[in-house]
Amino acid sequence: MTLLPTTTVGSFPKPDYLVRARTLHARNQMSRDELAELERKATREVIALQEKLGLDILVDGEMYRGDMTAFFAEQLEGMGTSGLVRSYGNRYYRKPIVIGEIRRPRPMTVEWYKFAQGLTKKPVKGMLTGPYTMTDWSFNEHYPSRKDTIMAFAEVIREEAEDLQRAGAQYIQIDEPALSTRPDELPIAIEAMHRVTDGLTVKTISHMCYGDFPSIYPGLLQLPVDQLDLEAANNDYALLDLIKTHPFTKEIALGVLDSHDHRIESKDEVAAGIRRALTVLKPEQVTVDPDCGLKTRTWEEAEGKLAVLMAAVREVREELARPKTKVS
Amino acid sequence: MLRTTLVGSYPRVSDRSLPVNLRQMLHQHDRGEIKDIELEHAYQATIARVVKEQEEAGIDLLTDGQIRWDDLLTPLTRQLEGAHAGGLLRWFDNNVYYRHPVIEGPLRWRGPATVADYRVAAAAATRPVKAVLPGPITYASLAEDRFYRDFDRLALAVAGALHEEAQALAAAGAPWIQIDEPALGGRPAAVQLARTCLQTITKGVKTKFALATYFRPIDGIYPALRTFPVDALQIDVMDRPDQLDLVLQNPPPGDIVLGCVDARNTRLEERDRLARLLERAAEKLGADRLWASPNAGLEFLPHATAQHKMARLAEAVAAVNGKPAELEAR
Repeated sequence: MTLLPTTTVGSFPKPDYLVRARTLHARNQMSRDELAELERKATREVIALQEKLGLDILVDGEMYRGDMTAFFAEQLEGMGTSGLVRSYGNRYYRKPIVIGEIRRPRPMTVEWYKFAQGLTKKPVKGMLTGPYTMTDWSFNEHYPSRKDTIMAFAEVIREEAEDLQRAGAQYIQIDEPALSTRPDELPIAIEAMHRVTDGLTVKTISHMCYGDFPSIYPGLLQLPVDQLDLEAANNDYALLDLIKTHPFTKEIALGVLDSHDHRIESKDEVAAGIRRALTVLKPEQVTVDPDCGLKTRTWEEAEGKLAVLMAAVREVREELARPKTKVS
Repeated sequence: MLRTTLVGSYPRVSDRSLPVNLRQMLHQHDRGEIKDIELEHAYQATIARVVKEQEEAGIDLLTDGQIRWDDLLTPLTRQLEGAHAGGLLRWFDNNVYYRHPVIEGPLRWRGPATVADYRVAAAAATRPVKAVLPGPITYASLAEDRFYRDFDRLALAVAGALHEEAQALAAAGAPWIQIDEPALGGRPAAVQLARTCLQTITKGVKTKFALATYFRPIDGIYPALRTFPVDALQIDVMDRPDQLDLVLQNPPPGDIVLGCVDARNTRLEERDRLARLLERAAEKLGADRLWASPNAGLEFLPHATAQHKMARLAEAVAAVNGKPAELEAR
């Protein structure tokens, strides 16, 4: 494998026609089939964009998902949906509610994985939301404790991961953005991730963001996944100082683009960030990606940012290939 | 008599159709389709609705619902010279965000942040309305301090501004001012500083003060908290039942507000269980200085659930106040 493989965190911006179609579908003015056809069209475009840019490990772009917890909650038994709850300002969402035993009647992501993988020879990641985050971002009216809820989610996510592996996925990403919100619960999150990943033969990844990493580092390294996908660009690579305090013992997917900023980074700043990271990480450990999903960017911004990422990675790869003296 | 109150925030929008759809009007205002004055009327009508719903549910001490607030800190930040609202961060362990204050210069209070909405709520209410302010320890903990570069100095500067805000609220007639310190439990080393700040805020202000704690455990700082210069102390006994024992074993001298309904989960509390808990507390502490409330602001819940929970709280309190014999018989 090339050094410094490149990937993305999961979501891509939805094209305007898909945003409009989702609104129409929500108002019962467009059928499920018509919407699905547009979701497939958008997925083809996302795969084509990633191939054009030259990314190494692809994603399906999540054209068919709204929210990363609701997408799964809607397909699981034992789950309902609340009324509107505010997240910030004038933005509201319907928070999932655990109302009974959580069961998975059928695979939730496998068809989309197969569809996306069928469009490319490059590996496409299977994308799941982790048990800790599913719990933290749902109300619970059924299980007696948070731990019971977390372990119940772990069970169904495990089933889904096995199905993805069976379908041929080489990478499965289990996102846990909520992980750092209650540092005292890290052991439960780790136990749940064991239930999800133990015995899987695929490469496992977990993405987290907007977290208080100092509060869970180095304990976080006990999370049983091969690779941790972490943000660095939006906090000026503060993560690297943390890694200096305790060596990073896993692979890392290093976020070098601020996913929530309209500005397109320069090649020089992204390359400088990667070089900084390589002062505390071995090149073999590092995959390069944006800080977070790109769904809040415009299509043009996402493409522009990723093109810069690719250019910066190529520059650093060339430096690494040169005789030793050139690498700082 | 045991009484009821809310912690502060209340759902602004609903899945039910309401006379004023604030969410839609905010969108229309963003697009320039309605005027400032129309939005202002929508805010005021929503505050009046929130006040009315609390009264109908049987809440004794009301809040304005923090209808205009995007988060606990930003209304104050807007009125502070030397501070501005920065980027979004996660609000404690909730899937909810707030704008963190960025401190760029000496803080100076420019004028009231909360008085106008207090007046709107008080005018719409037939019962007393409590004003709510962010505590200086919480504000300083969550701020990005580029100026003082010293936690104590920042917290004291915030307390100075809050003192002026409190004076303005008291002058407007607010019978209670609640200071919210969700961060305090996580900063036990700041507990003496918190006391000093409260002395600054309350000094010479002629109204009652409450200190609200939530989200974080306060067992480690409880002995200090109970001697704070406030008239009421709010403690979460829902998420953290062991904190009820702390209070019962060593009660504070003033009023006690028990956060006994879960403001962060949709599961509805059982009335009788709630009533038994409150009765036990009332026996030990005396009902006249005891209050029952949710354990945090109700805006974490959908509107219908918030209403159910509020009604459940009031029913349990009515049962304790009115029918002790019937409860004992159960």
